[in-house]
Amino acid sequence: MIPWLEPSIPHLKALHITTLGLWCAGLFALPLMLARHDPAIGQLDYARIRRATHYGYTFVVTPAGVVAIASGTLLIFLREVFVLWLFAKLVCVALLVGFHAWVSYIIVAAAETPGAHRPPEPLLPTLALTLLILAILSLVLAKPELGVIPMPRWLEQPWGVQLPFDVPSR
Amino acid sequence: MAQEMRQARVDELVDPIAQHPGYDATESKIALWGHPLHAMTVAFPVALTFCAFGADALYLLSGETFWARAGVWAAGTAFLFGLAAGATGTMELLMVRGIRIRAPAWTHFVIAVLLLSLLGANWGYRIQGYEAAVLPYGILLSGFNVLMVMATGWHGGKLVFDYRLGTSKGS
Repeated sequence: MIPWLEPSIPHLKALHITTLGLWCAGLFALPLMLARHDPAIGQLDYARIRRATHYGYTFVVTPAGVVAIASGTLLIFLREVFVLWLFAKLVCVALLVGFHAWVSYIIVAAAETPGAHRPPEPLLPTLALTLLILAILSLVLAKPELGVIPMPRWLEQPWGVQLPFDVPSR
Repeated sequence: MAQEMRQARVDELVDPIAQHPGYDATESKIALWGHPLHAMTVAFPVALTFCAFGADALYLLSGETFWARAGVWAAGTAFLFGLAAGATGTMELLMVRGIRIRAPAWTHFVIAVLLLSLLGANWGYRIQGYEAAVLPYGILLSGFNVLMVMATGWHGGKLVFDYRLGTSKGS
């Protein structure tokens, strides 16, 4: 689609895989780090947890996610993969970004209600994260033919309703 | 008693990030005479994302080719104006110290970049055949994009309304 950029595909893919690895690792690490924040915390531990999670989130994990998604978007256009498994994968990545936003809420809660905030138990969320990442990997590696999944009939054909106003015919 | 002791300790805890010099330097730098460009440019991709869904819904209703063409244009311009809005937002985030230091600004960043990816996919899918693309997957993508643009816009609005980031005079 953009011929002069095509030689960069392997490099972009390497960048994509490196940054998504960093991103996903960070999404596992941050809830575990934040779980150390509890009501009996002292100033030293509090400052340590705040610095580690805040700088980890703002300067490592989120930039990695941004670069992963941006390089992935460029790859979609360069390889012209406008196909169903990719759309399904993007919806899964949207859930991953939802998880990312949930982590940011815990970080903000730890910042704005110091000591009083009780962080969530990280076991179940990280299990859900594992399933989500496995789903994304399955979609991109197996590239399943999702067109066989039946769609509701009312969504496959126009309904043929006469609109109460004219539109240009061509 | 224990409650009081805990309360006393809570009051003593100091957030090292809020002590950072420049934490309150949130005044917009990418601006025309103090009016932030990002807030001006985001209106276009947001509205065009809704337009793409509206055009798809009218195509589903009527089957008129016109609406499929309106859909490919709305989806494409949503993506391209989205890139422009993304550029102003990225510069603001990276250049303004009081925005760069805040976690919610980065949260808005990553959601918005994913939204751009979805907008691009919706457009690229349509330029391969704009009428065949609408039903059923084009309209599903447009609908999902509307949900995502609302999530992105809400988190962007939070920065302005809750933290007063990117405004002219700061808080």
